[in-house]
Order: sequence, then C-alpha cells, then structure tokens
Amino acid sequence: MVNRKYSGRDFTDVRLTDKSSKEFNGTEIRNSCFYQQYIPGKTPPYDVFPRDMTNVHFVCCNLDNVKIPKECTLEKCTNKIIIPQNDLTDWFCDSNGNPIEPLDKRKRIKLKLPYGPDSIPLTKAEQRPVQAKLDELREQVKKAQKIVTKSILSSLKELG
Amino acid sequence: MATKYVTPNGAGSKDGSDWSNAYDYSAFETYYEGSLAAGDVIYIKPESDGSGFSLTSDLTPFVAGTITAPVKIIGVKKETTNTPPVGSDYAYGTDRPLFTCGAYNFAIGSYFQVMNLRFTGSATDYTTGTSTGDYCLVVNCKATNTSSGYALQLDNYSTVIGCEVDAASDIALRLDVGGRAIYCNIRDSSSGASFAAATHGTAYGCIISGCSTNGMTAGTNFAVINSTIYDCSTGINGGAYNLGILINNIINCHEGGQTGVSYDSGHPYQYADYNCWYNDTDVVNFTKGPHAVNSDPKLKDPANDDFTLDTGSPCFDAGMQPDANIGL
Repeated sequence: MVNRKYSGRDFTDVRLTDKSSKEFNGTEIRNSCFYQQYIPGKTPPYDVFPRDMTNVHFVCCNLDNVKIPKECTLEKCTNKIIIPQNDLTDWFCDSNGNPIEPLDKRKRIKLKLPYGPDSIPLTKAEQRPVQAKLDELREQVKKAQKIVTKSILSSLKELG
Repeated sequence: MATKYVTPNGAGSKDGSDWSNAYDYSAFETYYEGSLAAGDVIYIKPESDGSGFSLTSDLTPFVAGTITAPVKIIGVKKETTNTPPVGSDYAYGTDRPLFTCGAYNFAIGSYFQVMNLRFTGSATDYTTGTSTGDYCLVVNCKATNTSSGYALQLDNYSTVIGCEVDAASDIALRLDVGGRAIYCNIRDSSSGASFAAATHGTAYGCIISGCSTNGMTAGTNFAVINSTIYDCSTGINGGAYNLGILINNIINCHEGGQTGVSYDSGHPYQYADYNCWYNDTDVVNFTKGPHAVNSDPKLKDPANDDFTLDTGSPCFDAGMQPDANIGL
C-alpha cells in the first residue's frame, strides 16, 4: 500500500523520530527526499525514522545520510554518506566518514581537475575547484579576445 | 523529435508516449541521460495528490538542443489530460511539479527551455542549471538551495524570466556572458544575482531583497532597468567593472549600514539616471545622474513582499519618459 502521507514530499533535514511507527509500518514510500545535511562533528547516517519502524519499502527515494531501520527495503533509491569537505564540495564518503569521490566528479574530469581525496586541501578553500577553474578559463578567454581585437584593429589600420 | 510524458509514479507501460503510459521517475532518468534528442518536448506533471519527484543522483543530459530544435521541459498541472497539453494546462505557484534534489543537481544542456517547475535542494553545487548549458531559457520556475550552493546557474547567453530564486548561503542566480534576468524575484540569499564573471548582463523588472552581502554583482556593460533592490547589504556591487547602466530603479537599502551602489575607485565610465535612492549610503564611486530621486520611495509593505508604491510615493511619474524623444 502506497503511503500517501510520506510519498512525493520533501523531508530534507526533517526528523520523523517522534512519529508513530504505525504511520509507516508495512507501507511503500515513493519519490520522497529524506536527505539530511551533514552536522559538523557528527558522522552520518542519522536517525530519521521512528526506531521501531519496520517493513517499509522505499522506491525512488533519496535516503542519503539516513539510517535505514531494520527490515526496510530500498528500490531505485540512494542511501549514501555525503559530507562536504575543505574544497567546499560534497563528497561521497565511506561508513567512517572518509571521502571517496566528489559529487561533481564528472565536471572535474571534463575540466581535467583532480578528483581523488588527496586533492582536498588541508584548510578550507575560498572557492569550489570547479568554479575556480571556470573563472580561470573565462579570464583566459577575455585575455585572448583582447589580443584578437587589438590584432584586428592594427590590421585594419595598416589597410588604411 | 519526440514528445514525452512524465509523472512521479508513471502509468501503463511507462514508455512516456502519453499520459496513460507516462514515464515514472526511473524511466525518465534513463531516457533523459540516454536517448534524449534535440527537439524533444517533455511534459511533466505531479501525481493526482500533488506529490512530486526526488532525485537519487545527478540528472545530466548528454545532448544539447539546437537553435531550431531546443529541448523543452514543461511542467503542467496535475489535472492535465490534454495530449499534448495546451497553454491553460501550464502550472503556476504550488501547482508546479516539485523536484527535491537533496545533494544532487538537475542539469540541463545548451538550448534547453525549462518552464513551470520547482526545484529545492541542499547541494553545495547547485540545484539546477549546468556548466555546459549556453543559450538556455528558464521561465516560471522556482529554485531554492538551503545549503552552501547556488539555486540556479546558467551559462552564456541564457535568460531567466519570471522565476523565484533563493540560496541561503550563496548566490541565488548566477548568470554568465549576456545573461538576462527578467521579472525575477531574487531574495533572502547570501548574494542575489551574480553577473560578476559576465559581460553584457541585464536585470529588467526584478525584485531583489534580503541579501546579506550583495543584491547583485555586476560585470562589464551591465544594465539594471525598472528593478527594485531592497534591504541588501550592498544593492549593486560593481567592483572594478565599467559601463554600469542603471535606469528607472528603486534602490532602497536602508536597514542600517547598507549601501545602494558601490564601485571600486578608478572606474568612472558608468551611466545612471531616473533612479530613486534611499539607502544608508547611496553610492560609492558612482554618480546618480541629474534626475535622481533622493527620498523614501514609500514601498507599500516590503517586509511582507509588497513592493508596490504607496500613496504619496515620490516615484510616481519620476522615471524616464522617453516618449517625447522617440516620437511616440
């Protein structure tokens, strides 16, 4: 039975631990986001659902950083550990909270940026690596445009 | 050029061919990242109880539209049965389908048109838009980022019309070269709209309010017209850019220690006129122009989002009236 109350809704950063497990038990929850943002000093996953909740089937739900109660099943869901790092980017992490790869890995590959955990700076960066690289590329384009414009203008002058 | 139909749970055979066989989210994701093609039109509606979608990973297309065959993604009301939908089916306000993104990114490609959708997320990146999407059009969408990322980011020559954007700890709307924000509500963010990396940006008819650092950051040749900027630490931060153009705006940053418009020194090539100035400090390294109105614009109830002019406002009929000069 689809759980209408908890399907297709945004429960980002919402804790439901004080709800009765009867609201959930034996139901199917579809298309909801239960994502919990990282709380500094406290490694995910976090308790979100009532402790005695059981036999809930999640479909197409975002359960990142969420502790899944026993005997609940996931179908086409995500249930990863995500922690932002000193490069100001979210990273997928292992169960101990160690970074594995950044969420923007595809963009980093495209921009030829490193994406291993050793690329994370020891102190907090001022800008995300992808954004810094894009800004750098923009500056290069601007400089190139100036050179081309100067060159065209000087050619036109020569032509009289 | 295919037309596809999407609902959160899908229907029938879930091949996306019509509403009775609509894609569910999972099938939509496979199509969006696999077989989407230029010219495709995607209609999206919520479930009958209004429930929406949840991203379970970045949603990234690997194709672009073209100038003659853009990809269109259109949100429609939950009651819609027309195949294809018509204008009266378009969704507004809370009828717009909602995508909750978590830490993920709803990305679009170049020449994409996105209409009538809502996005909310907590990504340190951004909830929608993409670093590869030029010439995009986003209309009647709402994007919120509750974390340290942007709400909406689009690349070169993209236009955002009639959208609401807010980002708790970052830039709400980031545009690039030739970016245009028209009739947008940009609010309650660390920084409202950023054109800092962009030349030729335009903001027309926008309301920018409640931004803790800058309402807008300018680029070279940046124009702000018919807009209201309210309660921002600095209304417009022009930095070291030239050719800022400000006409017919109300700049009302007067909540203590706030500045209307600030440029770095040594960048005098700017033009402003017919603006209303009511700020703790109106301008820094900037000239208001000969027809400036220097008094309280008397906005009706800006704390409750009513930015219309109250009785006795000095802004009535105080804007540029070009009709006599252009033969109207």
